[in-house]
Amino acid sequence: MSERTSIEDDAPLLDRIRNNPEPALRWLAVLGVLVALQVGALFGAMMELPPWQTIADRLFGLPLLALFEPVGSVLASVGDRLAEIPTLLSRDVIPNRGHRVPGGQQFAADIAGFTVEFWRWEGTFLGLPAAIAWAIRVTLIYLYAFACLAWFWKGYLVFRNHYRYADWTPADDMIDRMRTHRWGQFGFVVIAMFFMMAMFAPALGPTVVEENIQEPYSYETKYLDQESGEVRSTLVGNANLGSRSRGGGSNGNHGIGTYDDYDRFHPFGTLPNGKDLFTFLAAGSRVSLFIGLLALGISSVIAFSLAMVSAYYKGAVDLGAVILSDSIQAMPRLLVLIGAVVILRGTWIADIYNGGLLLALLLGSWGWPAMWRAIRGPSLQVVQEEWVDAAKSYGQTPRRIMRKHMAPYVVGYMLIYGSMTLGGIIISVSGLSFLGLGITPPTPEWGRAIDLGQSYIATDSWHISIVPGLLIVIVVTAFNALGDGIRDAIDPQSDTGSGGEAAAAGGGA
Amino acid sequence: MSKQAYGDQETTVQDSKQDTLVDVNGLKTYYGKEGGLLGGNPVKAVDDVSFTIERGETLGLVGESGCGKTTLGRTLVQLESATAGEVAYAGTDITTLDGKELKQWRRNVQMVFQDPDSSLNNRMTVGEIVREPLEVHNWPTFEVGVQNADASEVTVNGEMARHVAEAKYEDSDIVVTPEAELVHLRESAPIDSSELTINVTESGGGVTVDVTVHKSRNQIRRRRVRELLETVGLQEEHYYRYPHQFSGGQKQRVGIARALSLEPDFVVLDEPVSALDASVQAKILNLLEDLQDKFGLTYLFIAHDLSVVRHICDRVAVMYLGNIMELGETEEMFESPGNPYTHSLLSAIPEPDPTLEKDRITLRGTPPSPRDPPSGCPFSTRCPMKIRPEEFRDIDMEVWTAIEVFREVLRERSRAERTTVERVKEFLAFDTRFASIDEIVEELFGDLDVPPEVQTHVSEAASMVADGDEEAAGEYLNEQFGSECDAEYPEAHEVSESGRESRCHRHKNEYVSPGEYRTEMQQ
Repeated sequence: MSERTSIEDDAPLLDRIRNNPEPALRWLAVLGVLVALQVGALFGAMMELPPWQTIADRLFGLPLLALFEPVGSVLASVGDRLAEIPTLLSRDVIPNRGHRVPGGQQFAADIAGFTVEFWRWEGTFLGLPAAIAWAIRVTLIYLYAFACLAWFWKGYLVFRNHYRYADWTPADDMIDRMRTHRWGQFGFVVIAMFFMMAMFAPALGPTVVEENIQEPYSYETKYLDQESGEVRSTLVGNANLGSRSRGGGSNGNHGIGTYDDYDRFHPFGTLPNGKDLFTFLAAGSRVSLFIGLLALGISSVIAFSLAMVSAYYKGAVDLGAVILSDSIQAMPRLLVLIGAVVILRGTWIADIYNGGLLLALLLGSWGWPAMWRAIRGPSLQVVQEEWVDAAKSYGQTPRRIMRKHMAPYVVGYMLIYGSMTLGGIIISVSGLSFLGLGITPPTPEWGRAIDLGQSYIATDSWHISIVPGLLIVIVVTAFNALGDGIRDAIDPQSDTGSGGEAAAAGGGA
Repeated sequence: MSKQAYGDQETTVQDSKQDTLVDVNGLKTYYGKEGGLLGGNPVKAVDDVSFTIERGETLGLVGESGCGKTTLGRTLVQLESATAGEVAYAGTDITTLDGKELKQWRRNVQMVFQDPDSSLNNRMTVGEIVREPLEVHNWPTFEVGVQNADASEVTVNGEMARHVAEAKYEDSDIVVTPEAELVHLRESAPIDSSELTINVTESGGGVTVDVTVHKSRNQIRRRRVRELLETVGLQEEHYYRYPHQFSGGQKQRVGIARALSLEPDFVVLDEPVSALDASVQAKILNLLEDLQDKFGLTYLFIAHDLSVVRHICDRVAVMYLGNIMELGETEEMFESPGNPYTHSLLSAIPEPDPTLEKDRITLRGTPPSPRDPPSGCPFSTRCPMKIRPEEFRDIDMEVWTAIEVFREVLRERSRAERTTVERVKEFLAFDTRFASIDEIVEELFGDLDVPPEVQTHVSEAASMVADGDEEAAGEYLNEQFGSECDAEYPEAHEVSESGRESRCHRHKNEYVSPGEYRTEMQQ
């Protein structure tokens, strides 16, 4: 089977690939196909995602760096040019916005009490109905994204089977434990889908944020007027007024998976102001993900490093950390947040991501004390272990002791705690948005959608709050599940064969 | 030419016997500070200890739990910092080292811990565990010595090479001469001469040595770890296993392999076999002995199992309450112990023969608190052979014991903190646990035939306690019944021709020595 590794066969990686290039080349060929399909979007994302303009303004404002401004603008124009290359998954290749053709009804029947109609459409992909065209695009996007994931996984397997010097490393065990951890895998898949939603948000929505949400009165939409039987054109803003969800009855309601009178399909229904909820949520996932992960990242890094340092050095360092975290926790968090947001509102930092960066920084720097408290105990416990003494006795540096001998035992608590905090951050942002202090309207954000639908929960328009609420629940659960899976995977003593432990951990959390 | 190079080898070889490696002088390790935040005395875990360890020997360190033997071991490897005194390792006082020097020194001294379950990180593979010390010290770095050249004019190039000023055969990994190039490769160096290319060039009065190693550091380390695993009786394949997949004995072998990875000279073995079951203990002990022979190691063997100590140690130090009570050749000490504490320790060794009549010395009570050790001899509060004042030498043993217990009780009581509630109760003349002195006296002396002169002193002391002055009562009893043992810290007396030393006042000429006293008691 696999030959024993010996010192002789550990040549550098490049040599190993040169000796047996076939699997690597095949793997790279797949990468070529995947990139070719999306090359325009890749550059587009590069040009759009970071706030280049703000960065450039600040960067080139500095005396020395101003010299590089021409270089920057050349790069920017090249990037923009490349971003215009058509891509498979763009809205233009599989359009879903169009209108029904007058007299184009091809099929209508009553099946089990539902009226099923099939019209010929114009402007949509292959003349299919808007809903089907949209569904095809969404499916293709997710297939593509999962194909990319599969490519990464395949890459790891190719490396492991063909090019790695050792036929076994500890990481293999971790991955193999993860492969049998169904709960963790569930979390992984859901989070992957959430990330994909954020990445492909502009292509996923049935309509575009700018046209439908931000400047509805600058764009027109065509539709088939039922009364006159003619195709007419109207401003999107006007169409939105006719597709509002305000509790049903005469106030109107457009629920999950319905068309409105303007030949527009709403997979998740509409908001009270008639804007498309799915488009809103898809775009909002970017903001929520950005704020959530950045805030979590900031507080985790602070909490974790502080826990390591205070547990290792104890004494005055620990006492200082206790006092610092107590003082921070003693301040009412919401009031401090509101105050800070108000003070910083006019500054440049509040413009980035419509206030998202500011919120992430504030929530992150205010979230660590609770997290640090939660992992302080386990850190103090692990530093008592004799292997820490052993490491000291042969002169290991404190930093390495913390990383190799303490951190692996605390990171499990961190994952679970962090995944539970994420939901809280999303809710905090929505609360602030509700007060007009968070994300500035009309920028989409999940919390804002919940707030917008609050008063309609008991009516036919329940979808406005319930759908984003459920999404938050699912995402938070998934992060929790993934955290659980990773914790079990990095612990060589965990027995993933029996589901008992995972179930207990899941139930306990 | 190479013969000439080997010619001076003899001069550099030293006599490995009778060469002091570790010289401990007046070492104190206290926990907590005097008059610190919580007041009170520091815990005197190691209190003024002096001894030496010769190169290549095994020194045993025995004593009951909490006597400070582990703290002493940890101080020797600088896991604890000494409060006072010095530890000279090969002539350098290591208690003053810090930073780079300390890290460099740590290569020489390693520790094997008591519990292999907790001394090995469960999240690391055995290979990573044994490899870690190598990575910490950026091992290997070959020490290159150049003979027949002025050290200041020598340049050594090479990623893994370092120049040493003196080209000694036993210390340097590689010794070269400007003419003969490689003349010596240390036998246990982790490299084969075929894996080395050495170029020596002489130019303008300087000598440049280029050392190229045809292996990466990682390759040499992996090979080293595999060798070490085999050395301690494990298999190469265990490299990728986790500690929890091993038995206790195997885990301890991993711990030993880790301790040996940097080729130390001195290893502190902190009860290395006491967490293992008996059949495995013997194997690990034999392994330790084999390794000592193979690598010329010096051991400090901390244990509380005396039969293990007898098996492995050349010399033994007996520790009690942070002090070394007796120190000397193992076999001799087991045959004829000097100190009363050694007598009682040895009498506690279980005898496999049930028919054998044995007089066990059972010590009463527990050791005193190391926060507040007795003045005088540390063992005086429990010593069965304590020197009595002249006038009480003939009173009954039981009466004497009762007096000693009575004094101990008073000592404990005057030291115990009174809670606020107890103070209030006392003030209101309620019964507290401090008030029942009559009951104690009754219990201790009630059944005994107490001589009148003893009785008066006891009653006097009891009345003082009843008045609430326990300290005065203690002092009074000390005046009446106290002896040299209570007053003076015993000197170390040489008790055998081999230079065994014991701290006991009974070794003085005017008293009956502990051995003789014991025989007298048995009759």
